Amino acid sequence: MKVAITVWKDRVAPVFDVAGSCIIGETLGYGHPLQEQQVVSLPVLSIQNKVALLVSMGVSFLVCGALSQECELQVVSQDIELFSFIAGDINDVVSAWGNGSLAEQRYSMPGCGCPRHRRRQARRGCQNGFGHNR
Amino acid sequence: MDVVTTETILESISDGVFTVDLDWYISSFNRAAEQITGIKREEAIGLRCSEVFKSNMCEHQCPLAKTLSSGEPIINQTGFIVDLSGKRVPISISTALLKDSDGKIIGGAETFRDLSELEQLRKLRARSRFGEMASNSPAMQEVLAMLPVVAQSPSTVLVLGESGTGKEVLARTLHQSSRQKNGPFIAINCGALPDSLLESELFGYRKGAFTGADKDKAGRFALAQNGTLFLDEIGDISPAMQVKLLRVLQEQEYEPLGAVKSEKTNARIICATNRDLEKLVVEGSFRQDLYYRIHIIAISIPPLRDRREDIPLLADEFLQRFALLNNKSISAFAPEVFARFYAYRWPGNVRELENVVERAVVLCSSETIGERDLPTEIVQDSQGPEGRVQQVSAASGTGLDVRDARREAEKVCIIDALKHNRFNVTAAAAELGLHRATLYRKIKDLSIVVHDQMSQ
Repeated sequence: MKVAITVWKDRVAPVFDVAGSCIIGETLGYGHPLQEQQVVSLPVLSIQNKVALLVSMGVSFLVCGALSQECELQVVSQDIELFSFIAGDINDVVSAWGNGSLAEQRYSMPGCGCPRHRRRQARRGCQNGFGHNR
Repeated sequence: MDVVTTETILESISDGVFTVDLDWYISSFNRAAEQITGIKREEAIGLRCSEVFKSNMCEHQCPLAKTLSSGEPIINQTGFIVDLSGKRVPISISTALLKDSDGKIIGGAETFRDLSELEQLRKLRARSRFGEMASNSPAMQEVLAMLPVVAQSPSTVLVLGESGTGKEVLARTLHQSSRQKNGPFIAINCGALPDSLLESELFGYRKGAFTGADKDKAGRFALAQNGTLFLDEIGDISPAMQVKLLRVLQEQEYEPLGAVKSEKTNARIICATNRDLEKLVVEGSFRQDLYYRIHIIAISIPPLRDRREDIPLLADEFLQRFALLNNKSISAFAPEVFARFYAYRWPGNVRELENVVERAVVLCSSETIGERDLPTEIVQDSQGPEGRVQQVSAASGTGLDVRDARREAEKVCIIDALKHNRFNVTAAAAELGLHRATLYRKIKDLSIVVHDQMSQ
């Protein structure tokens, strides 16, 4: 499985809708480290093209900053599990993915308290906090 | 003016104001900024402005970065921020340098205004609106009047209309106003996939169902549970798929490939086609029982040429959207542009208008879109049929009989559409209002050599 983490200036990109690049790596799932990381440029103007690119690269998980409802629908409808409103240094976030600690307050965007971290996937809707139902 | 007075003024104004230091950390954040972003001052101060403000401009077009590098203020650059609920809030931004008492630059100040109310007012200009569907045209009033009632019903809906009229927009609007609005909206283009792929896309499969099925995959019916499933180009599915679909619609249950028991679905079904289903039923290529199963509530969207009153409204909406996306301050169309828009026949309907406006916004270098920003086919075609005939005559010489003239005209139109769509046959077919297979047949009949044309 692959995870994509949007990146800008060594941090998680603030807005997925216009994010220009991401790190994509192999993973066994949330809580497992990223292998074979590569930086990939993303289309900036078209949400459809951006999501289509992620799908074509076999991405199953997306970690990103803020994203609009339009984007969220597109991502979730493509069976990509979403970890949104995440902020932080990209290396720290990659490590937090690997040890399953993205739910910690320090990786939340301001205004998003820990339980409001949003993790969404098709058919399962919002889950409060990470690591539930696992 | 002392510090206390300045703070009092900043707290009393309705524009959001924040300041940053030279490392982009927020140093002050006023009350209006709290209201617009939904983030409290205590949380915002000391954090990176891009992670608090969350604007589409932060990564690529930061006005404050421009001001800090050039020293020049920026006035009213438009964009959007994403609030904590994921809503895009339209804003305009102005920036200025922040200097200390010695005149040394210590950061920047950003003032931003919430444009949501203006956006709402702009939308209210439409005589009738239901969700994303807006119209001033009498031809659309019947459609708009029935949407609120249809949205509340669980019945299957069939949306009819030429390619590009907005069938998916209507389906999405129905979903957003329905009881299942909190569920997913899942769309699939049935005409784009061969049978075997369509079956696994719609119904999903179980691990081991076929070579390469190394894990379970949920189909679109499963993804659309508690929501809406939009089946586009339903008129293009094969007779075998029609039987399978009929069963799902009748029994509300289906079997994923390789599954041993049926699964239930409660998804609301909205179908759409640009084909004449009644004719297909008569010809025997569409099952009559499936036709009656999906033809419970039919909504027919008129083509754009039959509702030209909507052209200014739609063009204006597209202009606002693409100007925002491209960070351009284009505010209007020149009057001659509307004259061209009114005269053009819009074979690609609203989608074509959207594409024309997007192209114009990208190319436009002033504040008003002029004729020079329009594609040649709009300018030529809107000169009337004479312009086309002259074009055909010039290309083929004189003395054509009616059949030859028609073939030549058809050839010119198809080559134009292919060039316009970079020889993407599907897109060209959509623009011409033809089915893709029909366009392939015509390309063959008219001996249009696509590869030679591409190299020109």
